[in-house]
Amino acid sequence: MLFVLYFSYLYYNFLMKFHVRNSEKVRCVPASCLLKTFAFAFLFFCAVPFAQAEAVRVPRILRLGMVLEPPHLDPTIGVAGAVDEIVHANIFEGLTRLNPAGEVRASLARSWYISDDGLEYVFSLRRGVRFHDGSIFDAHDVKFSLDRARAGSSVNGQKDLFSDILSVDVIDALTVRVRLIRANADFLYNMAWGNAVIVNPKTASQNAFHPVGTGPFAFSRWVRGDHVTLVKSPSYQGPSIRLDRVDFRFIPDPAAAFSAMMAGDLDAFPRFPAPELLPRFTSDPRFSVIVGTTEGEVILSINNGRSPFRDIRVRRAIAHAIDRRAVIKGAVFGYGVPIGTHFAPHHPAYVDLTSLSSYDPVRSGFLLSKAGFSDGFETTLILPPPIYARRAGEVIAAQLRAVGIRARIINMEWAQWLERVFERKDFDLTVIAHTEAMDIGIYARPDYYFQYKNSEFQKLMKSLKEMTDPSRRRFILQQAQKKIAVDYVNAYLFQVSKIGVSNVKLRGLWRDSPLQLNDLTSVYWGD
Amino acid sequence: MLHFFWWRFISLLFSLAFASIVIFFILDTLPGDPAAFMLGLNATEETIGALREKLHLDVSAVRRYFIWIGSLLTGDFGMSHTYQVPVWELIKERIFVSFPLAFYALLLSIFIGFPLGVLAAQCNQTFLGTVIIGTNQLGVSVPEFWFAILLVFIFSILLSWFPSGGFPGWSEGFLPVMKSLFLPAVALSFSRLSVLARVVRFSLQEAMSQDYFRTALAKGVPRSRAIWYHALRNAIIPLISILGLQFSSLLAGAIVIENVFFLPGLGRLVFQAVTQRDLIVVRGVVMLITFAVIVVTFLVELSCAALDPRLRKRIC
Repeated sequence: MLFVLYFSYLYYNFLMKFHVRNSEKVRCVPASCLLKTFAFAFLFFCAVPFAQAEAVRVPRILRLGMVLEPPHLDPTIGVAGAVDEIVHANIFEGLTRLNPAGEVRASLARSWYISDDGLEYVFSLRRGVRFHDGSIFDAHDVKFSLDRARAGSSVNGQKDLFSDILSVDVIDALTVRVRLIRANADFLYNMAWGNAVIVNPKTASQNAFHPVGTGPFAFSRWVRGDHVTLVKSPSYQGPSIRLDRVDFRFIPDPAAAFSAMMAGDLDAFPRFPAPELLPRFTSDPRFSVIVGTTEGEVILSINNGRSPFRDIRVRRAIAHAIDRRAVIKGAVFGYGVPIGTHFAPHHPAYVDLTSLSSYDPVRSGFLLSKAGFSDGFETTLILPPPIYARRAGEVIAAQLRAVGIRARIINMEWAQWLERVFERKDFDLTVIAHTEAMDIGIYARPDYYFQYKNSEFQKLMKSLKEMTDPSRRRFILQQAQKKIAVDYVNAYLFQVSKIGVSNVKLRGLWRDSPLQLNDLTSVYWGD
Repeated sequence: MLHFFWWRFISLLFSLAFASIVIFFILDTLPGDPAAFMLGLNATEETIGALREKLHLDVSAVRRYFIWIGSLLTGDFGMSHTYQVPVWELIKERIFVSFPLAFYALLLSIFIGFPLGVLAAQCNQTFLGTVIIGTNQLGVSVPEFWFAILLVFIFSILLSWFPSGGFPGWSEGFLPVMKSLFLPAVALSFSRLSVLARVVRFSLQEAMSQDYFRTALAKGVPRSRAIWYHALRNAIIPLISILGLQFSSLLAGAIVIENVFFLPGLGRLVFQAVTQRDLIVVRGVVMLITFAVIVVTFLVELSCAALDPRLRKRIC
């Protein structure tokens, strides 16, 4: 405050200087009024902001940073991942949930019974659960939510999750039976997705702007463009929650995200957007850096339906021409795990097949000449806007040039990329991350944009879906991984790491990201 | 004066109509199908078709223009596709960030730039004058975003006096809002106050070299009084034009600063809407900013004319 007064006094004197100079005896009232007004306005607008007392920090508040602001807060409509990052597991709960390792655990369903043929699931529900608006949760809410999600008019972003459901029946207030059309080993896993959360029939239509769920945190307010605030729900009966309030703040600019963490305006940034700035955090004792796994595989997609890429030797030559280590270093500053097939390395069924496409420019050149391209060829590499794709694309283009494949880089906006590459399939090569969990099934879709048409693989995927025995499933998954690796469908680059930064005193944040969510039920402030 | 007013008013309407045509058709030529883009990877042909119809993408561009302008005239900005709320609601929230910020920055640049300019004119060719001129040069040449990052580094990271960005919302009270807008306003005003100070200095110096100023001094008016009453009044006209221009550039040009301080203002709304191809929002906001700029220009012309009778005569 003293500082403020002193500052204003200086400013006032400074203004008075022109007034008084040479004119001590003559008073000119309007001018001096003007000057005074100036001084007070200055005091008000320039100095007052300095004068605020130190805000008292309440320790049970958590301020989390996010890059993207969600368009709405209803996880059952659309596909925006930013919605799930706020509401899933915090505001809304599903029948099942995932633990940090990605395994299915009980949630609103206390336990379940599966019939021998795998076609009938009977869920018994948790007793005494209330929605945030006070109404009691029961089996009818489950039936309503699942029927709503799979209805013809539903705008659920992941309707596939519910496509195997034949009927949902209420047996009693706390028991629900779900019948399936065909056995689906992923059914319990699917019910843990944000798109499968249980909503209240009375408030479902308002969830986009005022979400009401059964979770540990209730929605408080949304200052659009800045933050969403959740507060601890008094009606939650699960394990004790050790946070009173959570603010999700939206900061799209990586440099701003960095300053906000450094200034202490944020407590954690679970998906930090700028890997190049991480060394500053690792060397600072106030922060801990958490490197975990995600379900995102970055691949160099090859148009299998277009020559010369129809020839497996050309695709294989591309795979051998790429040095994954250099790509990972150049694209994500080393925060990635090399992959040799389209599968997440932290999954128990993963097979390391990177040796099939090891970095070997000599073999690459040999394969090219055998395919009739001893002088190489010209092609194009289309890159979407994310920074990892642009950086990886430049490294890859240089590596391909070394074996004679002259790839011209074309940078595209998302809309253009979607239309030209994804819909019209008018491309040669592109770099993209496939971020959905367990998405190896896309190779069984013959009209998918990279146009891999292989009946053997399609059969594998069909048998996988019907198989419930874990060891058999694992075997099929491994066969599938090998199949697309030896067919060199795409050049598999790396698994994206989840890089989080947090205050060193904060405990219980998830390291990995089995689904796109920020489960805060076990987060607390340590000493 | 009335004649002048109507003349200007008509030209204002023309500018608005022309701007709306340019805004509409430039955005219309953006590559990519906005409907497919908005719906993402998993959308079916059917839903894309339905959305195209909803966005009137199936009729000719000229007809779409008239549909758009018609609903604008009735106050309907349309529905944002990504947020699923009326565009006006989005704009309304952002206006309460962007306008106060622009106004705050403008006030700062007036309260600091104006006296600095007067002082520099008075202390011409002294040490103080040189220091002021040098600082102004710096202010004009340092990029805004760099200065903003410097401010964040000093006042947020090192000193922790101010938040590094964000907007608490008006419901938190006046002081937190002012605190959060202070650094952005300073960053925005630095280059503008330098421009202002330079203009004040030059036009004041010019006025001080005029005959009437010398006459005033000769008949015994004290120097400071001669400056405040005679020179400044004549020097102030270019100043008002400059202020008008600055307010416009503050409204439209705060986008970089809004990104550095992650403020939810109009600039960031446009930026987000462009990246998400929410063309309805882009058009609405750009039109609104254009409207504000044209109206401010109109007001500036009117006040210049009120201050300087010569301007009125030249046109009438």
